[in-house]
Amino acid sequence: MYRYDEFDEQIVRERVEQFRGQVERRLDGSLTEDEFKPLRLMNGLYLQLHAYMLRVAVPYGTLNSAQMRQLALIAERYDRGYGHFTTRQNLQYNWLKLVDVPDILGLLADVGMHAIQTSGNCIRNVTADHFAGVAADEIEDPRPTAELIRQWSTLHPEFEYLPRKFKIAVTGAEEDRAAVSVHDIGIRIVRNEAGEVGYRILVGGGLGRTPMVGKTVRDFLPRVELLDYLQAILRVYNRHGRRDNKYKARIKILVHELGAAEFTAQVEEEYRQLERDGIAVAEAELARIAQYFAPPPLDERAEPSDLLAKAREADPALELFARHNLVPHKVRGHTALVLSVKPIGKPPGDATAEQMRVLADLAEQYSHGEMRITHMQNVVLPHVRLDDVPAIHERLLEAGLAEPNAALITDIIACPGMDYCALATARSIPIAEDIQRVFADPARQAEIGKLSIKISGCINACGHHHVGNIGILGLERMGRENYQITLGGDPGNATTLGERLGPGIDADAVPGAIEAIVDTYLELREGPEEQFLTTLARVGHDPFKPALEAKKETADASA
Amino acid sequence: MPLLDAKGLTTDTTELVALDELETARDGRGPGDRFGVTVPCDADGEELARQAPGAELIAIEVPKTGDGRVFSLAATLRERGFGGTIRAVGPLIPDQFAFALSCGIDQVEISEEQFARQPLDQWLAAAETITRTYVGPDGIFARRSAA
Repeated sequence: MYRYDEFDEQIVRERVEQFRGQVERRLDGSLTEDEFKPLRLMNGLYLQLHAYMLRVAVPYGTLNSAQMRQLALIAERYDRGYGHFTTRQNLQYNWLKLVDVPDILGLLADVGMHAIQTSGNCIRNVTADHFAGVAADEIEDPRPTAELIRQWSTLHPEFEYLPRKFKIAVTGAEEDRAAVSVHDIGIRIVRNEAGEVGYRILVGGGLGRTPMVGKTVRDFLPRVELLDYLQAILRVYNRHGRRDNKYKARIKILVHELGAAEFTAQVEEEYRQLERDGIAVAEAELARIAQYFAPPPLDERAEPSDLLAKAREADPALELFARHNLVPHKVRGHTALVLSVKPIGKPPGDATAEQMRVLADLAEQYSHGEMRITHMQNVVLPHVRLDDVPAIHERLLEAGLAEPNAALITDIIACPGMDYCALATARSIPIAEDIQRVFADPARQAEIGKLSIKISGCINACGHHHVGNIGILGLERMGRENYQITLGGDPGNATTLGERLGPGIDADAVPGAIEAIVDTYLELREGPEEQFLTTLARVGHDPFKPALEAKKETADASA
Repeated sequence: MPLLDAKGLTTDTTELVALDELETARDGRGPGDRFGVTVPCDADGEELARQAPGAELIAIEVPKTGDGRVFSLAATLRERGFGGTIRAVGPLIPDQFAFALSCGIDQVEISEEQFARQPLDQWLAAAETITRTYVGPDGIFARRSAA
């Protein structure tokens, strides 16, 4: 994984001291709260309902053991002993004091981490496929590209004060696991007819209150032109993006209002005129950075593994875990092991300091010291021998991280909701917990198969409900929490936004409604192989509507 | 109102006129007279570089601290060859000074009230806090490739 050189190190250190000074100037009155706010946001610091929240960047989701241990230490020393993995491959602390933050940033800098641009109206930390360097369907590891963009966008003098936040995601695989079409800029590494590797550039995707799927502005961009082309896109956006209304300020609105063709024409015109000084940079830097992402030395081993097969036969819990939480690795005899940070009945994505240390130890012992954070709020040990899975499983059981539910119905994404967030209009975490309890039986989960539920506690859609197979959006109606259910969302290659099933329902009716939807699916599917989206596409929304109606009546009757 | 550049407080006697008066003003100028124009920050840099090639100064009005259009406008003017002085007029804060200078802005004009809260030493210190960022002629990318 990427290792800082003296320059990266210096910028992160100086940034810590800069923030220390900014806090002092806020406290002595030199900076007003309005002036200070964007500065703290650009260091990942939010003021939430109960305390300050710090969002730490885990660039493109890759972490080593030393970094994970430092996150654990910070959780214990400054928070309440845990951290929260987010849908943007970050880690958030929810209970910090402002005066501690410069020291925390210093501890992060000690292990090559930071919170730079994890918030604010700037280019946010870049996300990437969590199976980068592992997946067999990969054209190229997206992380060198993501790291190049991280460096370029860090304190870029022209783009620190954009109309609104700006998110970039990169994938290098055929299956899009980074949800690039719902980002401000989505980058797909592709091969052209001549066999050269380059980028397809999508612009203007996003969720939030106006969900949109990104439009392709360039089918094939030569790799070395990336930074200059990004510069052109960002400049058009910085100049013309709306600044009169924060809800219309994202680039998706500009693309929508201008039309994709006109927007593309403006970018291309800007690009034509630009001094292309990024080309030499991209050439040299991509090569330099890529060395750091060279795959670890993995020897091919027998696959399937006899050892694992025998252990699976003997242990039903391991069998279930192995069936759902192991992802094929491109090197024979290995797997990427998904650890669910979604134990039944616990807030999705929360990990205790103790669990973080177990993860760090396991990664060190079994996965070349490397971990990945997924946008599903889980952790991956990316380079595990199949033979080692039984031993790892045992350790996970002790740590409460062996939930065999990766990609199953209880592997729910939920935003922090009204329990933590000042913007939320409804709770999300308790809803997730209630649904998990309904489907707690592992055999039932296995029978249902892959099915994603995503929950947002307000219209800003941090829980990505638009792209959940089942999406749940918590709103407030006349002083009561009210939940809208959408069906059919898919963040992958055929990006689809879910459609509303009907009127909103009460919180206590949600688990029953979800259960009824799932029962309807099980009844209508043509076999266990037919996934939820396929059934839905075949039968439409109508057969699912009574589920919602019935539950609504029950809720009304009991009210 | 206080006028700052990379070295400290400064003065500049360039006379500012509207864009459409620039040519007339320049026609009648005496020796040593300097003329510039004031423009809003949503001005088109490309057009401006064409329309005001003779201007000695372009003053860009910045309505709000967070309005980053001024950075792109200044950068565009420089790329299109504008060689005069660029001034940002409005509530920029010291923490934006380094970005402004990097984008080709030479001067920042702020209010007396703001200067009282944020005196000169804060501006000069803020401009130096980060030794170098990645982009730009003396940036980290350039340093690495020179090494």
